[in-house]
Amino acid sequence: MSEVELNGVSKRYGSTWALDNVTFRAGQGKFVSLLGPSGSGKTTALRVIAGFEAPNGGDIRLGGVSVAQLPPWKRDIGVVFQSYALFPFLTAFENIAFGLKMRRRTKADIRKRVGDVLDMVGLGGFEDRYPRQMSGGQRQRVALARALVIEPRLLLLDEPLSNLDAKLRAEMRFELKRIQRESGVTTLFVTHDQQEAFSLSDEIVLMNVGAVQQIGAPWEIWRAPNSVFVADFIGVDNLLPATLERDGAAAAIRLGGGYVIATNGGGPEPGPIVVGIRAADVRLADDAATDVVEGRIVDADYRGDISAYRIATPLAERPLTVTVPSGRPLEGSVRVVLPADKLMVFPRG
Amino acid sequence: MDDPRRPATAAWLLSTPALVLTALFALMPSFHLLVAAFLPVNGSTPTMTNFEALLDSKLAMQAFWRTLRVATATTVLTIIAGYPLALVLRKAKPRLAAIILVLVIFPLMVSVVVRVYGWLVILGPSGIVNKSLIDLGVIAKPLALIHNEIGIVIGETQLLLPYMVLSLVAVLQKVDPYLEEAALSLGANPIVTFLRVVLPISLPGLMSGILLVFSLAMTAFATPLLIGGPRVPLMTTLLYTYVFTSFNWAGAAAVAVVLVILALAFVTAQRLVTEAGLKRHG
Repeated sequence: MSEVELNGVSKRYGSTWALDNVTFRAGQGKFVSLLGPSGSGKTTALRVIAGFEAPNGGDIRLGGVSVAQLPPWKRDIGVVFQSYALFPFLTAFENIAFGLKMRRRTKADIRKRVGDVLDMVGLGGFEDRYPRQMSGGQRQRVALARALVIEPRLLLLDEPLSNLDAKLRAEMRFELKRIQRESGVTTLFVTHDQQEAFSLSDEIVLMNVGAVQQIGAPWEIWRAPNSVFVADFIGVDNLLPATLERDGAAAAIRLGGGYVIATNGGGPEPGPIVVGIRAADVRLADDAATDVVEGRIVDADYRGDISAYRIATPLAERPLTVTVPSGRPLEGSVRVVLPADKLMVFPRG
Repeated sequence: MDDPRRPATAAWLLSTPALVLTALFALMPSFHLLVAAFLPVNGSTPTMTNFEALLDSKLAMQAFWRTLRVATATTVLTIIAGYPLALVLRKAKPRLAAIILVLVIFPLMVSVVVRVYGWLVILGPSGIVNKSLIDLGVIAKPLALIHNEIGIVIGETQLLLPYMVLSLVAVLQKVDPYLEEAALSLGANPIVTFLRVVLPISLPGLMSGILLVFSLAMTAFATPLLIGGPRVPLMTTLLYTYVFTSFNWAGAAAVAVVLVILALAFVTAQRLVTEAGLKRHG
């Protein structure tokens, strides 16, 4: 168990940079997610850390010591692959024992450790099953046990939940968190699923096209995404082009249709910006409200506890998405309010 | 049952020409051969005379053992040469893989005569190999590389290499590449990873490659005849001599039966081994 640190790591394939000067660190025992869309470099980062790919530059430190020059079999890093990569000709026991055999542990020691880790992942009694005789969820647990039993200094998980069905995925998510806490192993979790990342992580490293976009605790990223990309990726529903105008200490955001919202002085330079607001933060106004925008409902999506409406407004070409607690279905004209304290402001470009 | 619209019936009807051909030109002659092998030259009571004559013939026994030696050596060499090639093919980019594959299969597309005379030129007393070795001062007199077992093994190895490579590639390409990385991450170095992960998974391909190469090497005819010549007979070329030179048809039939039995025994043994392996691993 160690902290892991990437310092300016770069990796080039041909003329494209799969990793572009990537720097982040995961403290000892922490659960850190590498989150990003496909092609963001998150899997490449994992492969470089595991030693399957050599970086073109930068350093990787494990417990303060550089491992960049070590081959994968000397790094003591446990990896759980998306396809699980269980050895098909070995039983669950033999699969899990593989790493211990490589470390020349005694038979008795191996039996005890494999037994312990099987109990930990809830697979006691499955020792003699071959991978093909197990369900996806069980294989997943064997793969996790195989990586954990060597007591790795770092655990790498490459989208381990993506091959499971929705119900099992939710269950395994809690299991994963419990097992990680129990074993106390520093964990890097690669995923494109923001929900998984938010629910599991102590910290999230959000990546796009090979570069780190934002690092922070889930609540920090949720509350204050630092760019249009991050906002869009974590599901800020409405991103509207606007202009920031500044006059001395006062600033105003000018949206389409001549709608202007006064803000405090912070934020980017005056000029073209993008304004973001979550669907749940847009209010439908009653008659008494001021500062309203007239809109027309173009689409309704009843989701049980809430209803989502698409509302055409003069604010932007794309209709606003607004969610409200479900009640009597709304139709026709409505009046919406964008609360100034819920707006996120990003530089455009 | 005999409704031609039923797919099964139609399939049988459509396969009639092939079945008739097989029966007429493969099964009947084989049966005839079997009978001939057990009939003495002048007589109609089945005996073992023809086989006893083979056992007594020094030439026949030499051919028997030489055939097994050549087939074994060829099989071992195709494994040694073919395995690395299959591993390279598996990791190569598609375009490079296609080029290598064509080169591997090329010997099969060249006429046996051209291929064999090529080898005669290369391996002969004044061929490239001997010339270079003499010029380099490695040897004083040319090595005997043709008209002997060495030449036959070289020729057959080249011819049969594609069968080994293709059998191995077929299996290796289905192996999850992450298995090797999993082994590496668990502390296995590349050699151990190969021995404990790649090799076990490729065993079925290796077995079918061995089966193909060994039986083809045992029954090869043109290559041993042209490279080895009549003084280094294998069972196939001995059979040819019996038929066309000494007109010993009964002896030829006996040799043929022994060859078929050997081949069948080998196929059976290979299947038993493979099934035992499957039972263990699935």
